[in-house]
Amino acid sequence: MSALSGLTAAVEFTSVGNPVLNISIFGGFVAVTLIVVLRASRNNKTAADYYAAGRSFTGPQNGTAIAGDYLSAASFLGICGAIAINGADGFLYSIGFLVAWLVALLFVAELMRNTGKFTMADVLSFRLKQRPVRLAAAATTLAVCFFYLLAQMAGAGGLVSLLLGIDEKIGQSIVVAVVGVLMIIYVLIGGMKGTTWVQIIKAGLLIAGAFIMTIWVLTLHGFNFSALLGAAAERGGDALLNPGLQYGLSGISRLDFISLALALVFGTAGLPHVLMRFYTVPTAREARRSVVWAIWLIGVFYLFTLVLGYGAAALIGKEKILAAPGGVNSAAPLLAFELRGPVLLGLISAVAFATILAVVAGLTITAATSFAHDVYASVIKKGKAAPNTEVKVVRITVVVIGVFAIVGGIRVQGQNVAFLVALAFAVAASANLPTILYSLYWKRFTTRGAPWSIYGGLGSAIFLIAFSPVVSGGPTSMVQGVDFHWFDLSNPGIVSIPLGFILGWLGTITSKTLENPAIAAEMEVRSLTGYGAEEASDH
Amino acid sequence: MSTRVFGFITIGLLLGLAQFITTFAITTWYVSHANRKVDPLADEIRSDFAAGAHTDGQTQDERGAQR
Repeated sequence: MSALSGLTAAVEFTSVGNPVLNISIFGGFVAVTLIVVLRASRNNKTAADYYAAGRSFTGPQNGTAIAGDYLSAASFLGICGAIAINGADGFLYSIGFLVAWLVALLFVAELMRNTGKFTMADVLSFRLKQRPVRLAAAATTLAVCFFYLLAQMAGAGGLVSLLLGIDEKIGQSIVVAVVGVLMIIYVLIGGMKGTTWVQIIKAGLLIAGAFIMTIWVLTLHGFNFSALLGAAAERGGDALLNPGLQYGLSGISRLDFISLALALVFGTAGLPHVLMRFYTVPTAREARRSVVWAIWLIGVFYLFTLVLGYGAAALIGKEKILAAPGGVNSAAPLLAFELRGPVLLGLISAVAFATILAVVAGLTITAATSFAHDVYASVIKKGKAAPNTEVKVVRITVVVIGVFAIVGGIRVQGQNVAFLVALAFAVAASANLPTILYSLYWKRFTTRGAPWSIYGGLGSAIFLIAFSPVVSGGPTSMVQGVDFHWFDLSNPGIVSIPLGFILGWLGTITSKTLENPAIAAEMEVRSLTGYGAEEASDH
Repeated sequence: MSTRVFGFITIGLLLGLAQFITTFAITTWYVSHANRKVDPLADEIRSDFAAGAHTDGQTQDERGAQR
């Protein structure tokens, strides 16, 4: 019975949802953002303009852009679906993703802004030897961006089958290519300024869309959250309300949850595309205001998704969601359709695409900047590259990364690569955060400690994931038919994060060369007071 | 964790929501502390440096070029 109703639901959904309407709403978003990007690009002259938007955004603007950069399709569609299916355990993601921002606010944002120029490596190499440290920092930046980018592109392919009713591989590949080409255009023309505006517009649409749906769901339940939970429990069973449905099954799954939570909480403040956003504001005070705005926007958004997730559980039901094309990810679009028919579904679909587009644009500019600024200008040209060639190199890199993302996104279609987002967070937490904290707060930290920590954290996270159930040996593994897994957790953070910290400490205490204490003192003053920090360009 | 406090609201859910509230509270507290206490100190030190009280006449960028 339930399988039958699920099947009819799927058919009904793809035939009633109007692909032409969805595409035209998304086309409208693309047209508006392209105009904004073109206008924003007129002032892109220097490297500081292209990489850091001339450091001219205000705290509230940058905070909104951070929310736009951070709230990926995974956190909108994924969390709504996770709450609709797994109830209280789905909410745990929201908590982790939000609480993590305290690390960024209290320890990282302001000091990063004062110390660095364009990239994470600027901070790490401030008082350490340039080449080895920049090379290591660029390696993890590119790795994190690549994993995250691939997950987003794969998500774009999956989203079309759900929202546009395109199931053929060729149709999905075309959509991935369109997303990739649009991303290249935005980043190439608009630089950081254009990318930031795309993220601001997208954050506004996403939060407004979620807000409208939240109000509708609450209206249906008399603005009583307890009544909504009751309706969800009536349809999906009491287990939806009780914690432990997903992670409470065994000791291993509990440990896996702790490992995931560690990666989320320590990874956010080490995500290179988030760190780079701190350079787009004129002062450390504005960087602080950005994080405050981001925390409020992200927190309120996750409260909306809590209502939407339980709303989907109450109004649609678990079986119907799992049977729809796109599975778990279809909870929010199905709910939109249930509430107000094809128009709201079209709006929410367009917002989901806009979300992917804005996130991949942010990732691409971060990866390209890291390559041009850290690898090309500092390592290959040894700091003697003319400023104009650096901007030229960054543009070429954008195209190369874009093509890689399109090809990769098409190749991974139909494979289960959802673990890549968790891997990106794990690498950011194990390789980036330890070195950032050490170089900002530990004067004894040496040039040997940084690469040890970075390569150790990066390598161990990837190594453990490769031998975990997400890659082989599980029912939903990426590789089917062979089983070479021996690491039982799907999240490597609980091992790789401590390892990253320990290796950074070990590399430092075993190295005999000491770093120049005068530069350490200068860095301390600069990071805490902003004396000598990069200033905003005036136009 | 699954104990109902009132209606269909469980302890687990309330603890989760409490983490939202503490996050917002810590944010607000930190910002007011930084604005009131830390920023004036930082401004003072920065203007001292700008007036030449502690400079050794060389910035990190210049030293970096020599290395």
